[in-house]
Amino acid sequence: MRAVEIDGRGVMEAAMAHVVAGHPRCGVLHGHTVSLSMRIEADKLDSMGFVIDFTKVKPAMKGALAILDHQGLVVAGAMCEAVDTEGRILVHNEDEVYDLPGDEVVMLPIPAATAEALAAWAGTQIWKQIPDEDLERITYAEVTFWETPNTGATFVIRERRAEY
Amino acid sequence: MSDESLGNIKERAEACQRCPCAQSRRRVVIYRGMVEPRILFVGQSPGPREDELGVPFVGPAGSLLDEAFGIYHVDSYGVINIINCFPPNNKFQESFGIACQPFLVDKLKVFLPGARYLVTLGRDAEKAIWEVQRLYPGLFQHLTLHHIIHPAAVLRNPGWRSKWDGDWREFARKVHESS
Repeated sequence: MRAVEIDGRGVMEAAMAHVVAGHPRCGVLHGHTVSLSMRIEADKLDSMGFVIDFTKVKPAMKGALAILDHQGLVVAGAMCEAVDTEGRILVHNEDEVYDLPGDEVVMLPIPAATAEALAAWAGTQIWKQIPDEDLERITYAEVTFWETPNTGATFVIRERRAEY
Repeated sequence: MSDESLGNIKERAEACQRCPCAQSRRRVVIYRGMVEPRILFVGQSPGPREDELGVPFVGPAGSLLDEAFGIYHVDSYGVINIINCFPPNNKFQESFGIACQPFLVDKLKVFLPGARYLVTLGRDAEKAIWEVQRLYPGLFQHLTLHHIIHPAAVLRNPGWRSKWDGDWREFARKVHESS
């Protein structure tokens, strides 16, 4: 088994605001400088001798972060309500409602804007960008969404397989 | 999952002469799936294709099962059968299940501690699992059990396709609601 790791902490980051509805502390609007890291394993190397060429993975990681970076409030789509044709959005957070311009709300198809859900969302975004010839060789892949440099949630994109 | 445990089970199964399947098999068929599956599927017995390749659910029934994994977004799965060997004339008998029960228990001991769901495919698997559950209730304490019609039954009788779809929809709802 061969493996590569890409740790984006400190070098590949996004500034985002979020709110986790119902949480006593994280239910209040707040922000993080977030980052991603990945581990990818393969049983055999490609023709260049790589587990996977970093240049195929890093742009995908940066692409996921760019969707979040300085784009406004990151929330679960279900919390949002379109109110008019001007594009304003109401974000329902328990008893509070935020009235925001639509282009300042990042509505994601996730159950809540937790690090766990954002890791799964980012993993799916990144995975779509990996070429098929690499997907065939990859035996394991995980992505960690770091909310702070030492607090993150990991999503396993592809689990290790076995046959007996 | 311990590779050593599964390797050991396979070695012992290859030497097993406990029932007539020892004469009808070409290869023993133990497991296919993730190293640490969240959902363990239990079928009845290997078919001709499985016997040829030594891997469970790789024939037509396996294709139907894989199709369901895709449709219902089941990523973390493992599949085993209640017996390890292709039975004579491709006909399962309860006595083969009884002879193979120690192996079934060993396979369950490898996978169940890390699993959250156990899904039986077909009545024979369901009955075999009930019996193991009676003998080893502790193995099942943390698990949610679910039953789905066997994919081979759907292939034999296309009229059961709607039951297959219904069983899967119910299972998928259960899994996705709790995740």
